[in-house]
Amino acid sequence: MIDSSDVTTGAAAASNSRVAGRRRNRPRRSLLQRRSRRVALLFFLPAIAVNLLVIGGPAVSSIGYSFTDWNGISPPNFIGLDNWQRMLTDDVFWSTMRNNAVYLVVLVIVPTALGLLGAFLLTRVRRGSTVFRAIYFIPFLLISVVVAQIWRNLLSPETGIASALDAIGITWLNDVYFLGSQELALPTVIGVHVWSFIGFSMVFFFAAIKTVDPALVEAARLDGVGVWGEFWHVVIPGIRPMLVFSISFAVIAGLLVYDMPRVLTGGGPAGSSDVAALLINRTSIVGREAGYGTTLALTLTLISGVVIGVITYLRRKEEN
Amino acid sequence: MFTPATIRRRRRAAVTTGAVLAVGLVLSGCTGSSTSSAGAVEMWAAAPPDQSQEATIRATYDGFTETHPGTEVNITFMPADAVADKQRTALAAGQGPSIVGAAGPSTVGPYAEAGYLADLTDLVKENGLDNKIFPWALQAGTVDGKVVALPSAYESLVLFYNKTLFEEHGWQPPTDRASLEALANEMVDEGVIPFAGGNADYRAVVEITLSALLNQVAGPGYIHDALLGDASWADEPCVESTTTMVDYFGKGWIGGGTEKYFTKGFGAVYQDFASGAAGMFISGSYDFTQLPAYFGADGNTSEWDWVPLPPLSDDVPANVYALAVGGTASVNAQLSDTEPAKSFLAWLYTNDNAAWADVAAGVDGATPLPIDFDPSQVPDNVDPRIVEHYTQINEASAESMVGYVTYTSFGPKSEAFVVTNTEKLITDDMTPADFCGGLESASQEDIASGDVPSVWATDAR
Repeated sequence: MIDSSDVTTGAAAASNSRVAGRRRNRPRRSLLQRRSRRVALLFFLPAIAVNLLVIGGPAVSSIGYSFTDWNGISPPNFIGLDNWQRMLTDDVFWSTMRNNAVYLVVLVIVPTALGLLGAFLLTRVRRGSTVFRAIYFIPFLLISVVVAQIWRNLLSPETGIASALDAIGITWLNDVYFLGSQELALPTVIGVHVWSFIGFSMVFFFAAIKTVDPALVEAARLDGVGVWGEFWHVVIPGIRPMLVFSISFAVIAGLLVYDMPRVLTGGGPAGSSDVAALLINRTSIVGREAGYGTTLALTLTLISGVVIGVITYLRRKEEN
Repeated sequence: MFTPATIRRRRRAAVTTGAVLAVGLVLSGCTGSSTSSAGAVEMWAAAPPDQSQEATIRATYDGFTETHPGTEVNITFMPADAVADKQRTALAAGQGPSIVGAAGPSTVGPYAEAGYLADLTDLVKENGLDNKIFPWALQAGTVDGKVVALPSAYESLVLFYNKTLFEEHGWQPPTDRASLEALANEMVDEGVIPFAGGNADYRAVVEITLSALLNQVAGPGYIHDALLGDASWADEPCVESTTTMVDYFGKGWIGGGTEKYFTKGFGAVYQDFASGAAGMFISGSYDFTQLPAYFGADGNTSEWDWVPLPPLSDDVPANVYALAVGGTASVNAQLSDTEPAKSFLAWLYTNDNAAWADVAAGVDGATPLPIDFDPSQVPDNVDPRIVEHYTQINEASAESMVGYVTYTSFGPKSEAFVVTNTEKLITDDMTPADFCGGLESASQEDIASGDVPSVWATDAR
């Protein structure tokens, strides 16, 4: 009779041997490293706990609410996929998503391009670059609703730039309603957002460019690549991770934007600058359809996640 | 800019949760909770823009504590936008206010359905409140045959006019459609915008104009029937009302033109009206407390006055008041002892002085309670134009000549439809027929889900 315990023991031994082999191949962590790891985990725990509580919990419950007719107050009733089916054919929602798409594209391209260019030029400024950086960064330091309110006042026909110009006889802005025209409202809202975002991009890229190995820059210059060549072949590859981060940040800002259109136009006129977050708020609060509003919010989150996922995938693919 | 007036107007002019409970009790949610002591009535109230008015509001309730020595009234002031959110969260947690403030009848239904509101039917009968509170106001707080809320702030839509400007030009306030349109044309010829208007600070304000035209063209009787599903919004009265609105906007009569209307905030609107750039102003009676900041201030010597909105079709009688309930007060059903809170409400609604105290003290945005009052008992320092207005509402209430305002009487889906699409009407992105058809669809959904706020009766047909 075969002693099964021996078999088990033998298999276990073989297994242990393989594991031990793998362990031997890894560099052994010192006691200090293990302690450091434990300490790091301890530091992480509060943040993880808070995130699970205030983000994880509501996020999971949101998924549940998206299958209900919850009005935000009364107990919800399960309605299956009704909200999701409705979302797919909701013209107003997809209209706001089109505005979000425009917002996203502009917010990714313009601040990134101008921020990069400005940062690169700043690195070549020998005197006063700190002052320039501070000036460019100020708009980003202002709370977005404050920025929006400032611009609302500036663009007001009664109290803003048009009125000031009119007072000195310049009348060409008199009949331009930046925030009251269906054609101009969305570009104006995006323009204000871009204005407040460029400073961040510029300072961010400036710091990134400073980390590029000076030897590479020097070598490129010795090779006579010129300013454009230096920018394209040395600086851009050197700051690629930061570039990807900045683009991801802009994508999220473009998809989840709420405050700028909320203050500047409230999504109007006639929905011309309406964005998904405003619609979600309106649906959940005014329409008292918190269940459906949650469905829209989850869809927006899903789309944001997919876009960010694609960017991350492309970045990793390129790195590999 | 977010002026106090802006915040207040936003608060009052729409249905956004938490924004519309008026000053004083109206804006009072209540704090405290089911754990509060039996002898305390604790309230959350939206902080008035002028902090010094907090003491005035507290003093409003001195009469109660004097006559009920065993009971305290504690008020905690907080940002207006936070009241409803905090209250909703507290109620859901089984805590919440002893007196629950709500933004109007549209919020009362869900609260009642969730079991948060105590039945006040007996309180009303025992204290004779059914003879004191206007019938429409009681109906507004009735859910499934039970009174669960008492309106604590109300207003009506009226036609303000710049009295000084009218006197200068020899104009008379319009009394029907013909005189209104003739006057508007005359004003345009004189370079005056007929109606001040703008919704840059709060887009949904455009529904004030929509409400006015629905009441004055289609008539309150039609609105009543459509709210109950006995008439269709897709029918001619709605189409004619919205067509009239589109026409008036198209002629530049409201705000001076569509794009200008979209860019003017409340400050610019009041300024247009007070300066004489605009001659009239369709708005809610909450603006009684706003206009003094522009008329007679900063060198302005003009005066304003008001008249009822003129009927704009032969089917609508004169002197009809479209009513909005900007806030309600209820008793938290989750309290271990609801008696102190009920006693408080009984005192409040049977006490004319308390009803007018905040108005007399000039508390920002204050309105009297919707109760039958004796005009001679109103404090002397209340603007006679305000007294006259509420006296006329007394009479209109007795004769049931009342109408409806979208942000109070429409169900949530209908209201969301109105907020989203009214601008599309005036930019020609939606035809009046499509608008009314869409409104009918939303209304049917509200009716099917039982979400239409209690519809008070009207004889204005």
